[in-house]
Amino acid sequence: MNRRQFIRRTAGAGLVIGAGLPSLCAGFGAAQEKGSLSRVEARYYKKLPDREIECELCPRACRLGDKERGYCGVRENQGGTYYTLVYGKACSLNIDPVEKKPFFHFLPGTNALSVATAGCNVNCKFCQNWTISQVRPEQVENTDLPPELIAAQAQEFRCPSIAYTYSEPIVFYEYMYDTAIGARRKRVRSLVVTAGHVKPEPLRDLIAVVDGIKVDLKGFSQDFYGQYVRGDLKTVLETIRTVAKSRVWLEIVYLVIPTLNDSMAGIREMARWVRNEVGDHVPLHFSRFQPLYLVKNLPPTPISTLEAARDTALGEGLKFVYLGNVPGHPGESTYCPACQKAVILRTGFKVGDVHLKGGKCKFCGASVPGIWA
Amino acid sequence: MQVLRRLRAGNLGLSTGPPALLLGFLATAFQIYLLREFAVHFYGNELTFGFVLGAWLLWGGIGSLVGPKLRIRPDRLPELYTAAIGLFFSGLVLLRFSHRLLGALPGELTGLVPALVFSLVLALFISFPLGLAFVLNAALLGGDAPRVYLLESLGAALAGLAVHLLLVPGVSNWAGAALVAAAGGLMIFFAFRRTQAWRLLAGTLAAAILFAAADVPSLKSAWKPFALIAAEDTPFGKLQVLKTGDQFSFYSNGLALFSYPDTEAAEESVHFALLQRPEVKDVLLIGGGISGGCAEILKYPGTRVDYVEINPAIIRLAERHLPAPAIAALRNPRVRVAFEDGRAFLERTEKTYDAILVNLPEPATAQINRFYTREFYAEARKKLGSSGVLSFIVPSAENYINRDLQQFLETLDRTLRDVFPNVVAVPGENNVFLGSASPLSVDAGAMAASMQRLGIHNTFVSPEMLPARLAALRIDYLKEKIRAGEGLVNRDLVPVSYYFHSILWASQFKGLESGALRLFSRIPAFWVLDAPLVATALALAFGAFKKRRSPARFLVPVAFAGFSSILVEIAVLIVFQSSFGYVYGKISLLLCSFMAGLAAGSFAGLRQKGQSPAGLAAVQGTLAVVILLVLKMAVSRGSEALPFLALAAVGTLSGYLFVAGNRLFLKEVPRPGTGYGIDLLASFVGVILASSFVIPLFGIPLLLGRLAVLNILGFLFTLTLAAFPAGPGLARSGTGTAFGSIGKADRTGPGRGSPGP
Repeated sequence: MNRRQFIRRTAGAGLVIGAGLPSLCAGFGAAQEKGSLSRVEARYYKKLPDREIECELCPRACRLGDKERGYCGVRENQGGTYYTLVYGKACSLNIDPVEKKPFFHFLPGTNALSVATAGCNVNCKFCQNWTISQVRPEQVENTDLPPELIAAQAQEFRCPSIAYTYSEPIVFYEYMYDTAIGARRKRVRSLVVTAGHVKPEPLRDLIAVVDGIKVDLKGFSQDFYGQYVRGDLKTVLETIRTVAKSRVWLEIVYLVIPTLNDSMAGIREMARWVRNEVGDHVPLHFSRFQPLYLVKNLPPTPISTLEAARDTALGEGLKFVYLGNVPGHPGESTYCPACQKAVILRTGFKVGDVHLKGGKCKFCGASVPGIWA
Repeated sequence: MQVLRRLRAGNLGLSTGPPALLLGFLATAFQIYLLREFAVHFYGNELTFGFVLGAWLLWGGIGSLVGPKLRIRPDRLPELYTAAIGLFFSGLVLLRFSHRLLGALPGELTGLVPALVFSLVLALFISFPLGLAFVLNAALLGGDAPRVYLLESLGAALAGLAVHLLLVPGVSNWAGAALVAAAGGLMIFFAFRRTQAWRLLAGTLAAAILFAAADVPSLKSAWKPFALIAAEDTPFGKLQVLKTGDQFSFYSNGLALFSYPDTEAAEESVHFALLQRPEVKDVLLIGGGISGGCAEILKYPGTRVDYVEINPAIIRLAERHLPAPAIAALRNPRVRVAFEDGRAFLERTEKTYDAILVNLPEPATAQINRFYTREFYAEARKKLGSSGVLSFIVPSAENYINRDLQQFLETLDRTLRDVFPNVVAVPGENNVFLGSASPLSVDAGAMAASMQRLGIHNTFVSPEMLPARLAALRIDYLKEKIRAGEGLVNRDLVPVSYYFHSILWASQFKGLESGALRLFSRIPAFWVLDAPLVATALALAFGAFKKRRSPARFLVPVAFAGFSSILVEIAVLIVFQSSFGYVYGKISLLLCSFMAGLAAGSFAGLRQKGQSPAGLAAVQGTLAVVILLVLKMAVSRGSEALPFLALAAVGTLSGYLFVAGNRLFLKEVPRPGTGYGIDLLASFVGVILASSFVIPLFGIPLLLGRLAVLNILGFLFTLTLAAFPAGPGLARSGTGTAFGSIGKADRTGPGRGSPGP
């Protein structure tokens, strides 16, 4: 063999391998768990010519051809009809203290039956649940758990509420919605833990059937949202406004990540917005960032930064500002907005003494907003 | 030919040796620093080292291949070397700002594809010009490429020694690289002695000074928006310290080691284990003492702590930057600090402990994998009392354990159960594994009662937090997941946990990396190790008994030597680190041994008046025997000198085989390109296969055994050639490259490479 032949043959072999290997690897990348999928028609989409559809659930407004999936990975166009692939297909089910969600003004000291499917419509580099949010439903082990069964299980485990959580419940909207309706019939409440990336119409419909919504406000600049979340800040702020105006209980979580969204000027601006746009009574949680997923090499948030954030928000007039992931810190307890005495003492997820009666401070009688029973 | 005679070394005012010596020196030194810096920015594990080494071989060979076609005059060699130095500096700058270029945060994980791309780009910058330089050197020495090979190997050995001497505290990687480059500039000047050489020297020295001066500022800039307050290159890796508010974070080779204060991490590493045996007295803590581990252990009355930390620089930096309370625990008379490899300490100590706490990063590299193997646990069990507990922590996922994480955790659990009859795992964002000969419990109530009895107050491992973390559903879920399958046992020489961690790590990037690694893990050993041997045997038999034999038959030993030597190098390094501890500081000397052997072998080949297939067969057979001896060394602990001797022996035999095989080949066909092409491809394939999955999945003993068989096949083949002399083969073409009539043997491009810094 001469040099030219050698090169030609090696290049040829390389091309063949190069063409075939990606599909082979993709096959091994995708179909690990062989999770089962659902085929339930989705809501909030419109049909277009040539069997295309446009999703109307979230601002991405995915326009999809036949056999294409939305950005979230769990909704698919099949022949011009849009289907949710995760209806009744839970991949994670746990019983968690409601404080873990966190909801601090909603049935304190109780447990929430927490359920999730695969998928998400944003891509946070710091996602705590990336093993289910950043994958397709075929890549997880799904359990058939129809809506009515979840409500029954909540009763069986004495959970007064169901939390749609871990990944992004907006992407399993239909499942969540039907479960909430069934749960309400059994007097089980529904709590939504969401990034808030949803269009107004589905949000309004959802508000009608759930009892509490916690929105993760991941940052307060579109730069941050674009670079680290791949989402849209304006949509999230609109979601918060809409929920605040409804009868549904609202709490907000702000995950503080060192150098990325921890400037006090930005936090002050955010706190002002919350006070002016949604009210000073809305609980705001500053949560400590723990390194994981794509940013597991970043440093965690210093507690002093969280304390400074809390002080800043309280300084802007917000009444209920908490620290998350710092067990035992005074910033975990609820203080009466009038007399400043601790009305709910907390250490981590454990609720200690509660000095409320009928939603009022036992010391001075001032009203403390929340869902207490 | 007249042109070439005029361009001979004597006419250019240089002595014959230094230019080729310089090639080996620069190539090897550049490669070592490139690998060290690559490890810092791409979380160096053996997989990424394989990329760099493979890319280096690829571009060096391509440089040698295209060199004649570019028709660069050999008298431009000084400029080429100087350009290579400049490109080396540029490459390291690119690497330092790699995350910025990728649009990623300084601490962000980036996946295998960027690592591969960067390794290809950097090797193109640095190895390609040195590949060109080899061809020019061959022309300068009248086409005596074997002599170039010998001198280059000597230069490489010298570089290994020089870099080892420079790897001292206080001399950063960039400063060391600048010194090496400056030395290279001086060597260029003295080797070529031309007027223009002054300018080249001045330029090189200026660049070296600027480069060294830019080290700290560029490091700080690369870490922005985070505040880097300290950095130190140690024999164990590059340490860096960030300050965020009142918190300090320590990094080693780009990976987070610990933050202070970080109460949760400190408590997790201690209390789940010690609450199993509240009467604990003697505790061995491997790593993590300065980040709060010691302080947490001291909460237990009367405990005595042996805290082992391999890198004294961590303590030194901590004493300089951390607040007093962080250091106070180390100054407690109940704490004894030892600067030593944790495993070596464990093997050496005669003490018995109530608890051994392994507080190290997860097995993301084959080096750290040593603390998660059956052999390590067996040693730990010998040093634990009858109710003693061993614990370690790995990152996990709280709410869903996917298939990749499950496989990874399975190996850890399985390995622990192979040694300890009682094993439990604590669920959560991090999983704490506990092993003991006596029963264990993850009951929140029992732990809370112990804490109360002892008067221990914790924040995270506390009566308030434990019920949620140790909920029955979560414990059962984790147990069900990690015991669903058989699980492979993680061994020193079969580091499967490291491999499955690589799959898990790669799965975060949504690319093909994880699919590729997963694909490899499902291929049975027969198809990887045995089927190719069978196919090779058949091909050799066919080639040996053909009527008209190809001249390429003499390159079979060359290919086998190239393939085998790189695999043996990598295997010996892994064996060294598992037997004798951290290999980081010794790698240059190990490389030096191999290169010195290579030089010796090629010298012997050059000195020999005439080569013959019988001689080739004898040496090939000897190589097979040496590989078997390396296998014996791998499975039984011997003297620390043995790995050095093994590498020198393999290098010597490989060097001889290359020179002799090429000489025989070129007698029939004057095409120097084919020989180095075969050697290149063989080494490239060897390094990619070994780093990516062969060693992690199948282990070193199996690999070395198959390599010995391969060389036995080669021995039998060349013996057949000796017994039945070759036919005419291909006719002489009479053409070839500009150096065709004078080029006798050629070899791989610049530097055969070390598998790690």
